Amino acid sequence: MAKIIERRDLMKLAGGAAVGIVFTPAPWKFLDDSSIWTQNWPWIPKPLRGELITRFSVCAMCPAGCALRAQCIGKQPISLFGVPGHPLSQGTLCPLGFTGHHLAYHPSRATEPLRIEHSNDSINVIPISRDLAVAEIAQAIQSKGADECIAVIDSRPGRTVSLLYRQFLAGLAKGVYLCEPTGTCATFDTLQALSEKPIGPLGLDLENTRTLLSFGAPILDGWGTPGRIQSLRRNQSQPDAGKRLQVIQIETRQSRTALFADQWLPIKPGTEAALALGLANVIVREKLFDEAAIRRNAVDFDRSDSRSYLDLVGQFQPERVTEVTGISQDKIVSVAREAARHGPSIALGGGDPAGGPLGEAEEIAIAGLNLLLGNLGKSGGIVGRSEVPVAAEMRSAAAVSPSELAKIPDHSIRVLLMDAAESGNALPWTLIEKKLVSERAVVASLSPYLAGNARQAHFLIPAPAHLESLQEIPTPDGAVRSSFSLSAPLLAPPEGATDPIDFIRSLATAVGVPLAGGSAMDLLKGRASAIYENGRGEIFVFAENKISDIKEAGSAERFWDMLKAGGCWIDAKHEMESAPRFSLLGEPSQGFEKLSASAQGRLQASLPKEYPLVLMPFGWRFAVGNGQVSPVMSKLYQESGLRDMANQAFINPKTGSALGLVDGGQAVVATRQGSMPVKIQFDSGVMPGVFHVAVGPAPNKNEMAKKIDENILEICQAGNDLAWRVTPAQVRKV
Amino acid sequence: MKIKGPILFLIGMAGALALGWYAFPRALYKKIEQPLQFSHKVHTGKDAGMACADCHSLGEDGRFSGIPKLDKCSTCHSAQMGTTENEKVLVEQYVTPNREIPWLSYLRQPENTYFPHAVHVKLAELKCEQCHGQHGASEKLRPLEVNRVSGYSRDIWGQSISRFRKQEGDGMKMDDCISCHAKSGREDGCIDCHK
Repeated sequence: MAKIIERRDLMKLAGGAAVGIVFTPAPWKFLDDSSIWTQNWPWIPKPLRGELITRFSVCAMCPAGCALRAQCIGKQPISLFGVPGHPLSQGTLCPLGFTGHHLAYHPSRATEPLRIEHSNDSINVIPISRDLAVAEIAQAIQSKGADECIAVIDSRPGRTVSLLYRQFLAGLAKGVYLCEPTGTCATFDTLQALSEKPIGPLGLDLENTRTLLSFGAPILDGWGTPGRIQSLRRNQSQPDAGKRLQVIQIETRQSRTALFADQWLPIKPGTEAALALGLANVIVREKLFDEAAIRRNAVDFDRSDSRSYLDLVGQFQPERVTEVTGISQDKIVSVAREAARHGPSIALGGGDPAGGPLGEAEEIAIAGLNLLLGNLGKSGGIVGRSEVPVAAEMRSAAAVSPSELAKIPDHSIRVLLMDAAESGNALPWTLIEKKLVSERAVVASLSPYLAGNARQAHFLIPAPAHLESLQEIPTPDGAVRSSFSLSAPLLAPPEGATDPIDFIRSLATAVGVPLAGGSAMDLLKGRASAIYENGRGEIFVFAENKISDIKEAGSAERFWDMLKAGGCWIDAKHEMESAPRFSLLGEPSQGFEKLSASAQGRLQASLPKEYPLVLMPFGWRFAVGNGQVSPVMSKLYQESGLRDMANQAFINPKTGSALGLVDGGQAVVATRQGSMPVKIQFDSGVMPGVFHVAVGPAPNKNEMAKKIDENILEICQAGNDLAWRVTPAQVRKV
Repeated sequence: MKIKGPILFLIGMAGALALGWYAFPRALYKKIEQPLQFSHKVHTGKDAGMACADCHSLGEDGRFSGIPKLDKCSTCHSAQMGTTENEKVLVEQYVTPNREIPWLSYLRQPENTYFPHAVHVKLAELKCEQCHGQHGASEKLRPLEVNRVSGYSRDIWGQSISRFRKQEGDGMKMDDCISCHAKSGREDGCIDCHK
């Protein structure tokens, strides 16, 4: 008898079933569900569930002072938003600010004091007690040599802790308070240095500016407060030409600001001083300035010794400037006329956040252009603002004045303390290292992260991370009116974190230096009290979305409570007393010669044969400093490519091809300082003979890895003024 | 027999089709009853005359209240008003001991999705029914159907297992968001919903 069901029949049945199942939703739905299942494995962290509570604070990641509305579940912030109506940030937050609540959990976060041991290119970290770290640092301070100094680097001056550092240093035999050599305030600092008498803090009245000459400043990409810059972009598209803001970007690289600007002038690397003096030449020659005012206020505009400002700008005829800068004569003349006629105009320096400062000569030439344009203290120009009041006991205590890193002799710092706050700009370790005494130097970092320059320190005394402690937010860079707010903590700091104010107090006690005031909270409260008692200005209350006169707070205690709840104090407008007398050349003895020498540009003569290219680093503000970015920033860096990853090198296709490089390939950049691997990307927007290398984070990289990170800034060459933005280099294919 | 093979093939195919279209959806979802029965119809009908927003409101900060808390129920039901067994349970087991009702949500979005009701209701002026269908007029609460593999509610995928000829408001997957946004001419980026 034949079998009823044979194996072949089963195969046919199974074949039919296999075909049939494809025409049902089962496999496709199962595939979808399986993929969701893999996203919900129990070990994958998930946001808490529960009732949402809204809390207000201020972002303290950079000096911009943007207001935050935090949605929290219990005490845990789960998402951050901007606050509409806020006078500084105007409802805006940058991508870094949006993810600020992730930083307390960053992989490179340090939660206890560490001793850091260095060997070759790796580090070894050993947990130690805070008391032991303080004792060892104190011992190093007490054993310093006669020529050695104790220094503090403060990336965000103007805070109460800044004043405390200065008082601490005043109590030591040779204390030096250092601010970063770069930043958005370079133009203001230069103007202050050129003034005969102190003119107080300065800001840019950009809302009333008509022409903005930006010498490489990232004015439309991370400069100042993001909300303010957004409104500037709106001013750029004003239909009324008389009110429209015109941005002219002078920069070698076609940066984002260059792309958004009304005009981009691609300038040869390091030749900004020559251009600024060339523009001044046209303005002076065509008498497009208030000559009487300049003659009255400038001490060196016109002198009989042939070393005056007039003599200097006379050397910078447009045809000569064209040779140096690569910008056509017609363009130089038209831009100079535009700046002078379509005012108020501002010339802004500062440079790229990673590319570093423009340099001393460049900034003096830019400041001179501002003074020639007559914008100091005028609406739409560079205006004065008031000082934020300080508690009487802090004001009266002795404090050292700020110094520049470039002015400190090499190998002279015995003990260096690096503050926790970030300016958002890069500061290459090589610049700091050359100032340290060899071998015996002790460096302590107060950064919450074992990353960046903190990895080079000997001690890490971690401060609370972003949103973990009460932080004061002084006036943002470039603001027209002074302001003060508090970043209220949303998270509890780990036990091993130490507030920098408490640390400096412990250290002062250990070395016998008396300091004014009490705890961090007392000092901040004291400053808030001083602001209230001053009686000027208004306070914006986030939760109520209204601005009221400071007197309506009723008491200093109530004012403090309003600040802690996310309030923001804004001072009244401040008028500069009178036009100060100033120098246009800087130092009386060498100013003329220094500026005259800048005619050839920063690289002076032709490039050496072995280094025929120009290396220029660049980056996005805050993402290039020592601060960390959230791992979800990988969406901007890796997935979308909106920002450039560290060590991505952009080169003109013709230059690249001539060097045998391949788009997307690997190469090695070499300078006199060393070599570094980079990834090549061809970009026809790059000037021939130049390559721009990105400085930035690798968001998903674990910074606790032992190997010290490679950073292109380590092989950049710094001049005497510590500007490192142009370096002769060579590139070779790997 | 020459036709035996094709017949077996067709039988296998028919079995798989029946399994895939009928048995699979029933096996995939487990049904969980709500802790308490509730009639939207009674509350939104002529007698009570309530509107959706009376219980499911938007806060001043734009936050959506979601499923109302017990205090919303106890405003009216501090004592039993009618004679139904469900109201008796509500008062005795939840209102009197002040115990929150552990309602099960039909439309809880995944963790990686941000869905603001305020934007859709206030700015886009969508009606509740456009997403929630006739839920506001339902006489009783249907059981929550939970996907045994993904753990998601069936309402996210939609009642139609094939997702063909889907009714408006049936399903709340990313495709549904994109399709509705496309119809209204919205241009969206990832970060609009995935913050």
